[in-house]
Amino acid sequence: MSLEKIRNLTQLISIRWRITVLFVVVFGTTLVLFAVFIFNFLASTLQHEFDDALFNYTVDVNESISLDARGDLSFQTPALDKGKLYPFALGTALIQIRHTNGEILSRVGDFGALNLPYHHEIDKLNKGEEAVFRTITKLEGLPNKEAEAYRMVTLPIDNSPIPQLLLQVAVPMTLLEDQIEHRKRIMEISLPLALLISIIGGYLLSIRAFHPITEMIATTEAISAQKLSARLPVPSVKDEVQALALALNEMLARIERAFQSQERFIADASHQLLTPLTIMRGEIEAALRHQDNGQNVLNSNLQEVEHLSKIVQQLLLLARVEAGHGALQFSPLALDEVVLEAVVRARRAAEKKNIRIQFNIQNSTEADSRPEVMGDSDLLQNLVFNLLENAVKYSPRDEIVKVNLHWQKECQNLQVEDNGPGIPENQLSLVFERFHRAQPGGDGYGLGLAIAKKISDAHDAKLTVKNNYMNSLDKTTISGCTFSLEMKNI
Amino acid sequence: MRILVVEDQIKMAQFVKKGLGEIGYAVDLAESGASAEVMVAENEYDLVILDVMLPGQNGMDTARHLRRDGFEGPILMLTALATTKDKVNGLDSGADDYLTKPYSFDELLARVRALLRRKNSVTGSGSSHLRYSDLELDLIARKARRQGQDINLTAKEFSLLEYLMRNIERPVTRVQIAEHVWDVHFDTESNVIDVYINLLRKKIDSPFSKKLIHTVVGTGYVLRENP
Repeated sequence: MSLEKIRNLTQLISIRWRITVLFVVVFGTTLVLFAVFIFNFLASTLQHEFDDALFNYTVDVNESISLDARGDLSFQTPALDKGKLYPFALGTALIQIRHTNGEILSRVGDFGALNLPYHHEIDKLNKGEEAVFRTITKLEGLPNKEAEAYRMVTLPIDNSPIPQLLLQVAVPMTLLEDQIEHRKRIMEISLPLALLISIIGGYLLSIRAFHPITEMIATTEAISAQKLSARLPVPSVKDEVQALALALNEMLARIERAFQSQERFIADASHQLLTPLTIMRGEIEAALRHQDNGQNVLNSNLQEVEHLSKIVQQLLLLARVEAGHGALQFSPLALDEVVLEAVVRARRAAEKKNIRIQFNIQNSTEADSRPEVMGDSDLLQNLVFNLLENAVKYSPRDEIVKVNLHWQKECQNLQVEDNGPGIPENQLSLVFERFHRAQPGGDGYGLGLAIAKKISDAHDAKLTVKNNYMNSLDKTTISGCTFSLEMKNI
Repeated sequence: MRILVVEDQIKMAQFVKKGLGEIGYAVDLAESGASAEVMVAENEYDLVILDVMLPGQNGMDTARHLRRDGFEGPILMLTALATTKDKVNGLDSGADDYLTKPYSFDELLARVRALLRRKNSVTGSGSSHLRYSDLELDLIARKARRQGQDINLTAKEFSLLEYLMRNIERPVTRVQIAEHVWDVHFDTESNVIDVYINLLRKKIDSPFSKKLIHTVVGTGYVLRENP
C-alpha cells in the first residue's frame, strides 16, 4: 500500500481513534519487545541455574567413582544427595563413563538403546574447556523417557592434558521445561490483556486530551450574534489549547467589530443620506405648490445631488476600509506617485481659491533610489486627497499649501501644511472622529479626515495633526496646522 | 453618428438619449446585454455606451461578447464601482473608457467626443514603440529597454521618459513637464520634477556609459546623445 493510500485511510478515522491507534502501536510494541526480552533473559537464567546444578551433581558423582582391584569403575550414588536440592529427580539421571575411543566403561541408569553423543565433546575438552553442556532431543531407544529433552554434561575424570576418560551425565529437563512453559503461558495471557488495557487507556487518554476542546466547542456554540461580546475562557497555561482559545477570541473580536461597524455604517449612512433627500423633497414640494419655473430649486437640488454623491462615495470607501484586509489590495507602491495623483484631483478645488500646492521631496536615504511602501493605491490616494482637500478648504485664498514628502531610511513621512485657522487645542483629538466639523455649518461632511484615519490605520501608518504657531515659544497665534502621515518602507 | 445606449433603468436611458439627441447623435436604446448584441449585429454603431449593472448578463460579459462578435467601435462603460480593480476589469473586458456614476452629463459628452475622435484618428496614431539611441519604449506594455536590458519604471517615471522621448534633442522646461506629463501645475518652488529626473537618471543612465538625460541650465532637461 502506498503512503498516499495510508494517508487517505487515516483521514477516514476520527482523530480520537487515530491517537488511540498511535498510542497502542507505540505502547504495544514497547511492551511486546520488553516481554520477549524478559522471557529470553529468564529462560537463559533458568538454563544457567539448571546447568550449574547439573555440573555440581556431576562433580559429586565424579568424586564417588571408585576403582576396585580389578580395575572396574563403580559409583556410590547414595552419598551424593546430602542436603542438596536438584532441579531434576536423581533417580532418573543417566550416568556413564566413556573412554575417548568410544568404549563405555560403566553405566548407571536404564539407557536402553540410547547412545549419548561424545565426539563434539571431545573436541571441546581437548581445547581446554572444563565441561561441555548439550541438550539432547533425539532420545530414540530410551525406555523410560522422563522428558522431551535431556541435558547432558561431559567432563573429563582424569587429570591428563588430553583426557582419556569422560564422565557423561544426562538428566531430564522436566522441571526447566515446566518452568519455561509456565512463564510462556503467563505471557500469552498477560500480553493481550496489556494490549487491551492500552487500547482502552489510549482511548480514554484521547478523550481526556480533547476534553478542553470539547468544552470550547460547547462555549463557542453558545456565543450567538446577539451576545458577540462573550469570549472563551483562556486557560492560564501556555499550550495549544490556550493558543486556540486566543485565536478564537481574536476571531470573535473581529466579527464583533465588523458587526458594530456595520451598525454604525447604517446609522451614519441613513443620517447623511436622508438629510439632503429631505431638503430636495421639501424644495420640490414647495416649488410644485407655488408653480415656480423651478430654476432656483433645480440649482439647489443639483448642489444637494452633488453633496449626496460625495457622501455615498465616502461612505462606500469607509465601508471598504472597515471591511478589513480582505477588501484591500496591497502592493508595493511609490507614495510620491500616489501624492501626485491626489494633487491632480485636488487641483480644481485649489484653483478656485487660487491656492498653490507646493510639493517637495526630501531624500535622506543613503541610496539614490526611491523607498517604496506597501499599500492599497486607491485608498492611499483618497487619504492624501482628503488631507489636501481639508488643507485647501481651511486655507485663505491665494495661499500656499505645502506638501512635503521626506524619504528616510526606515520610513517616509508626508506632511500637509496649511495656513488656515488651525484647530483649537481642545479639539485636536476629535478631528479624526466621524462627523466632527471644526466650523459648525461649514461645507464639509465630517467624513474626510475620519476616512483618512481609517485608511491610515488599515496600513499600520501613523496619521497625526498638530498646530503651527507664529512663534514657537509663545504659543498664542496659530498659523495653520500640519497633518503628517508616517509609513514604514518595505 | 449612431450610438447604442445599453441601460436598463428607463429614466437614466431617457436622459442620456435626450441629451445625446440634442447634440445631434442618433441614439438607440437596449435594455439588456442580449438585446444589445442583437442590435449591434443588425446595425452599424459608431459607439456603444454600456452600463455594467444589467439584469441577466452583466456589462463586462456583454463587452466581451461584442468584441468576440467583431464589433470594433469604441465602448464606453458606465458603472458605480470605482476601484482601480473594477476599472481594470472593465477595460480588460474590451471597453475603451470607463465612467463612474454619478457623472455629470458634460463629462459623458466629453468622453463620447474623445472616443469618436480617437476612432477617426486611430490609423494615424503611429508606432507603438519609441526608439532613440539604444533606448526603447514599448508604449503598450509600458516598458523601457536599454541595450536589451529591461528597466523597471513606475507609471510617472515612464510618462516622464515618454515625454522626453517625444521631444528628442528639444529641451523641455519644468513647467512643460508638470503640465504635459502629470497634468499638474506645480508651484515653481516644488522640486518634484528634479527628484523624478534623478530617479530616472539612476535607472536609465547610471548603469550605462553613455548619458542620455542632460540638464539645460536655466531651462530644464533634454534627451540627447551628445553631451
